[in-house]
Amino acid sequence: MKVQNTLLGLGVVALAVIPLVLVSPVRKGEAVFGGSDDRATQLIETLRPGYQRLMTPLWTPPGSEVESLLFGVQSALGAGALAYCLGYWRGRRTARRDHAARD
Amino acid sequence: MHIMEGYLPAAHCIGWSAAALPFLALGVKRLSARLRDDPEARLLLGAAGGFAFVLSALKLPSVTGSCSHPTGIGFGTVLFGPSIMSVVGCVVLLFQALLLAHGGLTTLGANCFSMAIAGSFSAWAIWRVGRAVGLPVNVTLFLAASLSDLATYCVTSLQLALAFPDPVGGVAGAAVKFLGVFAITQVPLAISEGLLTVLVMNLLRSHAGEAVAGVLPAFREVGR
Repeated sequence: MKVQNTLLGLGVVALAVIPLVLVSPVRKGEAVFGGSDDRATQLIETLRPGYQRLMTPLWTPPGSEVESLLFGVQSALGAGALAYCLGYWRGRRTARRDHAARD
Repeated sequence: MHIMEGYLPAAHCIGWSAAALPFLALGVKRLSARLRDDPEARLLLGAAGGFAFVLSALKLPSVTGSCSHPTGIGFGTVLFGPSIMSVVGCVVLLFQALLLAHGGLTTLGANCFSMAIAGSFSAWAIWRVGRAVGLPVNVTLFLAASLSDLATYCVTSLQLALAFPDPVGGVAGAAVKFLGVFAITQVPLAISEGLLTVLVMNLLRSHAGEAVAGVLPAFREVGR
């Protein structure tokens, strides 16, 4: 199981690193590794030049640093919740086992 | 897979929201029943929601030179079923629409439909079929998580193609173009999501076998 988990983790890292190596860092005037959501929006602009969007976001993070902060917060909250649960179950199982060993 | 705020015509916004609502209503009903009957489920729901939060915040580089993110929906779907996970996915999307300006309120219905609903129901179908035909647990889990991730992005492409048909190629032509943006980028990410789902489920099964006993066979305790 440990071997499998290590391999799974390495696989994820490899899949994230390989594109960084494969894709040449400069493309003609195009932001490299931009979001695919933004690419789709650009495609809409080419299909419908001058498209008037129905609504703009109520609030946009002021600046990319604040945006990355909020993405960081999102993943920290998620990882925290997941780790709390795993730790809780693990601790409870250990406690039960110790309790059973004393009896 | 986020359709940005305002980038769907009003009729489509209303249509996708109307299509999503019955699923969400059923999900809320199932969720409250599950939490009432099984207080332990609250913790497991936290784990499933946490996983979806982490994965949908991870913008990973892909071979097409753009970045996209996994959805994290398959994991919770296996544990809770598709309708409950639809609600969790919707909460994640609402968070991103309000605080991150990713997706939006007018496009929330469409985004919910692609990620939370199409994602979870396709994961559920693959999971059930895989188990029924006797595929190994982890292989089935991998397929359910990665293919449902891919399905989400295909649905998004179709939604955009319906709203913005190509002047020459029509809906099909636009679908090919949007799939070109989303689907190819998503292939390595979908594989990542499958691997991460198996990894976290391995941890869950070895540390918290009893919490998932109803769904997955626990591993034999390590070192005992």
